[in-house]
Amino acid sequence: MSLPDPDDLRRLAGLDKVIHEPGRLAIVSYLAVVEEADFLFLLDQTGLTRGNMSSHIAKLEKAGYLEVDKTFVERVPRTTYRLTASGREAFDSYRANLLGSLSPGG
Amino acid sequence: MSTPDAALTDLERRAWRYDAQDGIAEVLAGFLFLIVARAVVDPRLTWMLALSIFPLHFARKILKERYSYPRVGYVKLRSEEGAELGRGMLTYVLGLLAIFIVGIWLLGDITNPAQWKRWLPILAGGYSAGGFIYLAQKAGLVRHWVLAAVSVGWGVACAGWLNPPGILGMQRWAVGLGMVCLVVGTVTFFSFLRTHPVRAAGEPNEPA
Repeated sequence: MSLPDPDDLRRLAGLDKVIHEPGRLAIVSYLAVVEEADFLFLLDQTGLTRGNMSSHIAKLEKAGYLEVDKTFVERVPRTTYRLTASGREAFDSYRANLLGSLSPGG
Repeated sequence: MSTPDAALTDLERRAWRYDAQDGIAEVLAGFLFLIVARAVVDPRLTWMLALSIFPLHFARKILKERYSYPRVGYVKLRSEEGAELGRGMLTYVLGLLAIFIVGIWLLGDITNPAQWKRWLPILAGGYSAGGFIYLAQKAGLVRHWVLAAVSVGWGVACAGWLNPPGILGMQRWAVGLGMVCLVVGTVTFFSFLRTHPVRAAGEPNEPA
């Protein structure tokens, strides 16, 4: 087995740590394939607990990757989330880096 | 192991399936086909068909808000870029129309309106099958493939086998498909309500 290319290792080390955490990666991955989703949908899909989800969302929002919208639908509160342009860009670059460093030959 | 792109495609499919699991789209498609059935026998009612799009869209929104989102959450799906989707639809519509015209030309007199009326259910079946196939590819649900097959198969039956006079074949096709969609949609909807109860008060549906 050949040794990994140092460039690939550097690329791995440079992965966006905000996105790299599994819970946040699940949230961002979902929001990357839909326009927007609410808390309940993300909770069901990712299998995270309510507390975990809230804390991950707060970190993503702080990083500027998520846009949060709070509304009332038939007097019931609904919080929806969508990726910002920089969140989408960060996710695309995360995927490219991960794929590049894991695939043979970079 | 799946590639990240394949994993994202799978997530997208899950989101589409999640959104389609309530059967509301099929119920509304059923009503749309019944309106088509009414409009084809009386061209003066064509406006009814065009205007029905708005109340059906509104009904979908209300039903989703009231029954689906409180149970499984809200998701707004991403569709293809408008231009790409438009190009695909136009190619499909024109391609099918060209095949239809060549078919009529091969089968008989292309200038005879009766021929057009007779074979129209096959064209309509092809068009609605296109919609169901699009949904089937997006959501990966078997019932959309079945509806696509019923749509074309029933079109062939109405045009070639039952072959009623004039535009009646087209009307029978629309009534038949409308009823199938209504039944499939209603059964799916009630099954969805049964298997997805509304969250009890205090259950997590909002951030902590």
